[in-house]
Amino acid sequence: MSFITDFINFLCRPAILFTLSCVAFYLVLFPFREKFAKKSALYTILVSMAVFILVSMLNPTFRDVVTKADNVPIVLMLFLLAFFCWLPLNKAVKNDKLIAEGKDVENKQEAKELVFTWPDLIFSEFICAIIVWSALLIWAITIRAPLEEPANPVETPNPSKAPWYFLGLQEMLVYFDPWLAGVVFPTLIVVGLIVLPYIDVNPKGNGYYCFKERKFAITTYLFGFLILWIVLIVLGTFLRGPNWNFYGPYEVWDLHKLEALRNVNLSEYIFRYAGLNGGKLPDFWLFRELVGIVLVIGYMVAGPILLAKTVMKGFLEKMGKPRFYIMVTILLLMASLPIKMILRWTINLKYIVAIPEYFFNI
Amino acid sequence: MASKNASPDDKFYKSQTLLKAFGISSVIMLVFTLWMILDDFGREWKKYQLEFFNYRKNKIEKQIEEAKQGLDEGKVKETQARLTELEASSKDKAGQLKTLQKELIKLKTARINKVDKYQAAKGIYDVRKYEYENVYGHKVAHGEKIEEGTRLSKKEQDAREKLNKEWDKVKGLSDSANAAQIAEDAKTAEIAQINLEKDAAEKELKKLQANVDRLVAAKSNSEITISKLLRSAPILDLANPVFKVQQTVIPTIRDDVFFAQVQKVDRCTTCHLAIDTPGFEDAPQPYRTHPNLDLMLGATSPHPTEKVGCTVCHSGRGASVDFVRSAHTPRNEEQKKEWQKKYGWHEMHHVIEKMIPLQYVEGQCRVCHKQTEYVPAAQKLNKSVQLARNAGCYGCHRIEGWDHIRKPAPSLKKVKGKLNHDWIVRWVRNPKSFNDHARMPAQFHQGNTESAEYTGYQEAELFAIADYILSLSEDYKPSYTAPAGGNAERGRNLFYAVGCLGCHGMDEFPEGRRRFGAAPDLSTIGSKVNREWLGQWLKNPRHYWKDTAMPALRLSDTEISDLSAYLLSKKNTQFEKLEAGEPDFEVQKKVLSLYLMRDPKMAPATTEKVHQFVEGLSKKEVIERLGVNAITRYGCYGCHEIKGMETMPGSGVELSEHGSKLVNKFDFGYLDIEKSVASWLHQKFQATRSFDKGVVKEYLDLLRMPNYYFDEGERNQLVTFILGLTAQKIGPPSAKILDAKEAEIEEGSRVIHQYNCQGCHMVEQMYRPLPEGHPDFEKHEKEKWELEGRILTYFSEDESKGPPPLSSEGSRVRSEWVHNFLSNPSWKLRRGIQVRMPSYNMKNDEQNRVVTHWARQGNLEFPNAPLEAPEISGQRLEAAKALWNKLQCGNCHTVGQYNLTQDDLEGGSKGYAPDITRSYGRLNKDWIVKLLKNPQSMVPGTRMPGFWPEGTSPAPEVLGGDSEKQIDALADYVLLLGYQKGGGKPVTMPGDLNRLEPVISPAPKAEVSQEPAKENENAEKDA
Repeated sequence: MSFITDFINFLCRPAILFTLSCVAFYLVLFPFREKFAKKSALYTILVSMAVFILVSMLNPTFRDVVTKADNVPIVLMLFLLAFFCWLPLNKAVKNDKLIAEGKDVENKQEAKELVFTWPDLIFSEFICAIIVWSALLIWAITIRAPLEEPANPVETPNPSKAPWYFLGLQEMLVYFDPWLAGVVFPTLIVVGLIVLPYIDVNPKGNGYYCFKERKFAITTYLFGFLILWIVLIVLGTFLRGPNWNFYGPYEVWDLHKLEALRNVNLSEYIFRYAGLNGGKLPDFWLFRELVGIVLVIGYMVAGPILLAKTVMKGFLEKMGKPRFYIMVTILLLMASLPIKMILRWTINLKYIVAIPEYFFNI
Repeated sequence: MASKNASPDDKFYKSQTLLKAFGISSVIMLVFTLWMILDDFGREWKKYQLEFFNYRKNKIEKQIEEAKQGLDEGKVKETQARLTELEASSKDKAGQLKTLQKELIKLKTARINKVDKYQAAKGIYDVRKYEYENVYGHKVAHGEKIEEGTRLSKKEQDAREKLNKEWDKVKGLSDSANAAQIAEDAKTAEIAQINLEKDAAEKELKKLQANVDRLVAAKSNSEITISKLLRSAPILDLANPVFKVQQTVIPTIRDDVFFAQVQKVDRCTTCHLAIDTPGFEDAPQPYRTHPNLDLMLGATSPHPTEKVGCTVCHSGRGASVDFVRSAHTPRNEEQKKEWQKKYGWHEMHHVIEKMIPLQYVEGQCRVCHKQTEYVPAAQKLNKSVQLARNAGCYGCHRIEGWDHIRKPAPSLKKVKGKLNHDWIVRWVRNPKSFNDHARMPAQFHQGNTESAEYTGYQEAELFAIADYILSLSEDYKPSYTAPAGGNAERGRNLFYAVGCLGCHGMDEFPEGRRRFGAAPDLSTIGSKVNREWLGQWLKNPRHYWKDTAMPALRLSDTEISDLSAYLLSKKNTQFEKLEAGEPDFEVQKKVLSLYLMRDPKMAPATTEKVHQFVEGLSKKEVIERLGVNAITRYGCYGCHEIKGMETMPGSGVELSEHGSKLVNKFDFGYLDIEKSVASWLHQKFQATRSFDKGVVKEYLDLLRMPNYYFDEGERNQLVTFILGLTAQKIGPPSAKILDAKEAEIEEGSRVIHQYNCQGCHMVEQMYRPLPEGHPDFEKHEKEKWELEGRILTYFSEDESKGPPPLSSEGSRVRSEWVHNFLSNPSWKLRRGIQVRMPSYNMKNDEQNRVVTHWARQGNLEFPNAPLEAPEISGQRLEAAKALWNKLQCGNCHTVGQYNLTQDDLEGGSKGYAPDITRSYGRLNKDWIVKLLKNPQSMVPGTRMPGFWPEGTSPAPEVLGGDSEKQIDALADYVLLLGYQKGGGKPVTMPGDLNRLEPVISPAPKAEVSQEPAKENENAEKDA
């Protein structure tokens, strides 16, 4: 038993979980898309999720974490997530086939038929409202609100967790300075979502689900949503314990667990480890951080140009310059998160640019 | 499902399906809504309230039964019979009564109508009055002069006329209404006259049954009727339900919610419904009455419910009305299991202010009673405080308010003159091996230094400490030598009789012997000190230690020889056989290196640098440095005076607010014990080093609190004490704030405690007698001598032979007499008593505090009113003389100089009563009066008989048999005797009285078990 639990604990470590998620993401969207779109796949996934959770409940730690009044709805939402990821993919696969056969997509066939607002829409919505209302009642009765004592400045909860929907952001704080993870990225997420319709020049896929016609858009969006948001929320909710340390799903949340975190700045690698400048860090920050600054600027300036000339040449032609560069900038910023994560896991990189003199770290 | 061309009949969903779905989901929602209402309605506390109503009803029913049985049946029957008889006879007058009643109704109607008319007219009159005042009164008010005879204006005149007219009307109507009332009253009286006897009988019957009727009415309050249930039904209960949350809001006590202070709200009484109602003492919980209503929660107690609530003492979440969520804390493992089963109890992790387990709750008195050292009536807490003091917790741990107390252990500044190196080593290594009642805790070879390496380190430090202490010591040589010889048997009797046992313990006299007394246990003193030192110490303790609390007992040379002989015979042979051993100098250097590695002066230290430094030191320097470091680390200076370390702060953590420290700030190590502060403290006291188990630490980081070998009871007491040291800030008026008078009393008390006056006298500060008949009376009395008057344990057969109780001392004596007596107590009042009041070496300031203490305690003027000549002459004087003779006062009390005979000293009554001439200038007249009235109430245990039992006079022929007058005259006469003797001044010196001391009677023999000292019995129990 302990072999299995240890193995699952191991699989859930941030780097591995992230990598496995990426692999699964690729497998589901590309080689096995059509298999995944089948109903049996949905059932298999839902049932195996349920079985995993139920069996794991035998473990006291897992049970405590999952049945915490704050966490129960999050667990339930994971099932909803699976369903709502599967549903559009299912339709997309069907539509892709129809398009390949030269037929109308499903929606267009249905759109020719008319139904009445009453009772088809209003009445069914009303029934839904009743059901949701009942569900809320039962939730309120069975799971008491997890209220605690008045906030005490000398006795803060450990771990201090953000509301579940912000746990992705909180997880980002592990890798980035607060001004980036807490201010710039959240803003860019919102801005990015707002500009999406304006930079999207692809007329296809309007009003119906498809995949093949919008491969890039769907893959990028789902990567951001599932991998960079949902996985981080799951990580933050279930796998981060006291002191924001990582705890496997079956690992006891021991307050005293220690993790050796010794992170190193890029400049320290260059000067101290590689022995440049006789092992001494330059006193002036600009010289010290020059490499990092060049790298960051290069990434953000040369990156788009390079992409425009190479792999994304086609996009530039289709979208035109303004749209293309906005899109690429946002894309690169999004990619910076996994890049930074990987750098942290592999070489313990703390900051690429570290200028504590001005509270500016990247 | 879908059709191709839409028409009103074509629907996406079939109507039937939708309706079915709607129906089913609506039923589900209805069910859930009902469930929600029931869930919200079915609160735990309602169940308790319902149960309580039933319980109370049954109780009242029983009381009704009892009350009915208590009725005077005969009388009730007789009255009832009389009533029926009267009713029968009144039938004859029925016709007359009927007419009268008819007339009465008529009169009544007439009166009501007339009153009605009068009131209507009065209303109109008031309007007219207002109108007139409005036109005329304004003028006058605004200063317009209206001369006599000035004609009123037309408007004014009209108003005036109208007013007058109404006035006449009102007057007439008022008269006629009153007349109607008079007529009606007359008729009523007439009817009553006829019914006179019957009414009287009815009244009598009612009076007889009043008790039962009252109970029946009370019962109906507790009965659950349909209408009451309906009132409490869901939704309907918004108006005035029978079951409701009860709460006490205490505006003067605030709860700290960190960013705000809120009024304390306690809802405990929602379930604890009879907590402040007497009569439910035997009820099951939660309906039981508070066990001590006279002190707590009772309406007339100093802590009524509405002023203190519950959680200020018991802690817990007062706002909650749920058993688990209010953070009840079980008393023990057993109760925990019971609660888990019964209430689904579990720990409320988020709650900081959990309820304090019941056995520790008395410590919470200190939350409000911070200003006094001892809290009246809190006997358990007082015992804890006394233990904490005597064990010397404050030596290492700062406790707010305890900074003034002298160090708990002897000074080591002249130790060379008292002890030798070998003794010190053996003693410090294991104090228990010397005396199992040693107060000194065991510092070395405790649980966390068991490995061979650390045992060596401990020995190295031990020897360094002994050597260093001796090297610091001044030379000391006694200047007094007691005569050679000495009789140990006589010394033993002297030890028992003269008062040593008030402070010291001795194995032969186990009754009052205690582990943590005020002074060291002397059972093995012969293996510690030598004859020269002891003789000097007994003669004058200050010679060796200037600030000692040990008093001189004015012992004669022979007495000192005898006492020394006795004390030196008390040896511990096993201890004497122990080897001190030799230190390993290499290990000492190694341990010193450990210290030096951390010495800021050596920083940055390398192993090599420290090694070279240590090698460069001489042996003496190594020991000196190691000694200083070890003493500093173990904190020896906290209890002992050590040269150069007198003012260093204690080495332990401050305890002033320890009771409020959060549980997660305590290091439980890897011990699997309950995670609560109380359980941590228990564990700490049981095995002080046990939290080191399984933890990897360097030698110098090991825990170092020494082992006191506290037993279970002592641990409980200390936990009670420490949990009471909280950070809660409660101000006036809820907290006890001493006024100027009380503050003076408290200051004096502190001096009294410091000199351990309570070792011999009952001072009634830690112990306060309960009224007889109190449920805790016996338990309370049994503990009395553990707190105060410990020496009285040895006088339990005849307390009058022991030191006098000081309970009424305040009102008894004059302040200047107290001051003089403290300065020179050698002049005995009761010369037959063997116990001696010692000569304390109090500072003048301290004496003054004690004097003020008693004066304030007795509500005396301070300084006292000037001493005046007693006023008694003529008839009163003659009467007093007659009483003196009649009551044979002179049989016990001598008048002036009198050479006591051997008989008197050996138990004759003259030896136990004070010379009466010494009352003047010493006693207050008021007190003498009270004493004469009831001697036992003023001096418990006195031999003085009461001659005026309950105010009846023993001499009816004197002063008309008036007890008050007799007592008053006798009191004045007693004072007069002293006044005359001293020639108008108090008698100050004994004059030519002989100096015969009482014969010391033999001390009781007791079996002394020579059990070997138990070693480390508790350390074995490490969890």
